[in-house]
Amino acid sequence: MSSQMDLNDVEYLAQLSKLSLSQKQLKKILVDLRAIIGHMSKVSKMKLSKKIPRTNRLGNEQNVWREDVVETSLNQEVALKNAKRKYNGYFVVKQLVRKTK
Amino acid sequence: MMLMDLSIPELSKLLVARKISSVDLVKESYKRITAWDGQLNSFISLKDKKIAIREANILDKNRTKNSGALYGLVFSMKDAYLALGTKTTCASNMLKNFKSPYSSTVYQKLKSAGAILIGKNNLDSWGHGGSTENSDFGVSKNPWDQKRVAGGSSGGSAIAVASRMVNFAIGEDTGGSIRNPSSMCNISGLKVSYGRVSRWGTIAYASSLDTVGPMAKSSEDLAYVLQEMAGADKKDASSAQKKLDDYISNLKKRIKGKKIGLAKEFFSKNIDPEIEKIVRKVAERLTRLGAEIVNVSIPHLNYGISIYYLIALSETSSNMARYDGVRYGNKRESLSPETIKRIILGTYALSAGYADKLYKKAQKARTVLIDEYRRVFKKCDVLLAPVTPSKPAKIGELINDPVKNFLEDLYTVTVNVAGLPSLAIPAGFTKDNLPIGVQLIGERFHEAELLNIGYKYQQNFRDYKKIPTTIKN
Repeated sequence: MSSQMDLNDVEYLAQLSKLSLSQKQLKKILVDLRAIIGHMSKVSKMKLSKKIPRTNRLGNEQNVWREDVVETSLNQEVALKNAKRKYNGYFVVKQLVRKTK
Repeated sequence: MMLMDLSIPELSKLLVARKISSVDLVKESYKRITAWDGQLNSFISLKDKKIAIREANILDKNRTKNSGALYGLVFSMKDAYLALGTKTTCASNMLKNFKSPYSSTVYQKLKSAGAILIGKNNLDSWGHGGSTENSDFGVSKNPWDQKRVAGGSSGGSAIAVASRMVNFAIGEDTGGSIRNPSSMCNISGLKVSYGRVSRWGTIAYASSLDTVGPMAKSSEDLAYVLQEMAGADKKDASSAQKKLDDYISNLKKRIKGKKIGLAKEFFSKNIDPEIEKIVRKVAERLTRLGAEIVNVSIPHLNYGISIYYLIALSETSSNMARYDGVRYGNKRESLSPETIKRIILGTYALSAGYADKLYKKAQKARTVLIDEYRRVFKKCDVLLAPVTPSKPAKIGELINDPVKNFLEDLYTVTVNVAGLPSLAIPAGFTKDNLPIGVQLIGERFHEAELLNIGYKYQQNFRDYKKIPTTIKN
């Protein structure tokens, strides 16, 4: 990506995000992104020593463990209830592997 | 006088003495909703009235002298929480037909305390916004001026409390989503320390920033709700093991000698002078109650927007990846333009060549900000700050100005970045009669201290009692 974002960049990011968007949508997003990205990237101007650790979580001081025992979870019927397409107790997904001739 | 105007301990006393019943409360709640929700758009879904009355009847029958304070009270939740069998949309067309297959911990806890869930409130879909305009279920309107926004993202919940439709509500705060609408609707809202309340069964926005908190009329009511909903949960490994304080008995502690910090960075050039005046008035009032004012500084606060958005949007782009339309929900393209924009920005911050410069740098800057807050709390007990730099915007104003929309969050987001608790309380009104709140920010897990100061303040200064004249009856 170049310093000034262009339509190809947005299209690439949409593809990474698994979003199929129209040219009109992409153009609108590009306008907004150009306006926002400067503010959002301000952090890159901060001078920080290499020693400063990264904070990626704020949870507990110590790790939390649970007993290694099997507990009941959602049963198949409940888990499938919100699925649009199902077959024989399974989710139906798009075919990923095709037969070769 | 409405029952909905009474505080939680007042109602609880009347209920236990059998001077009123939960059925009375439920009926009044539906009456208020029927009268005003058509205009204000607080609810996405509502429980069938007959079912709610049946639940109230059972509670009335089973009530004993030892029933807890929330037993038989009416509440609503932001539509980001699972409650078994209820429609849970997160205000997005993606989930418009989704039914909760299980319940969130917070709902289970409140239900076992005897509270009656009456409906689910509107929000900016996925929490992506600060005005409840970014909802696929219509804009929510501010009860103080219906041409203006109610704040967000927990806007619907704030409206439900402000217009006396429920006794309390549950919101969610990732970057200000409880405090911002509380301030704009003249109610009290508590953003808890990260980990104080379980996030199990909450639809995630940004997992290292998300917090579940109560919204109510006063700090006193918040203490009663928090007492029931807080605590460690084995289903949420990030929930804190730290013992709970007694939030209720702590309310009445003396606040004489408390050191209230004012950080100059919270009064930047963007702040509306009317809001600054109100915050300073609150500081002066607190000194009258025996508190001391201390001037402090958080030098990197101005990087807050950048740090917050880099982290929040990176996390949301990752969290939103689960919505593939296979196990539940519709196609990804059914997401709103704001959410699509945020996913793309997050993907950008995490993409090859940018992750080091942006996402990882923001995580380092997060450490810096946490340390600065830690240092400040060596000089003062709590910080007093504005909630937003501007008063409630006219509907449409923020959606059409993405930069202003981002900058509006400057005063709230760093609190989430540092995982601190913050209490928003009503503080006064602008010349055009729009409510303005302030926030009290405390050290991690110091909720009891914030509620204590809030309670003492509200015992003496009663802005929080005001409701808009247009919806009084």
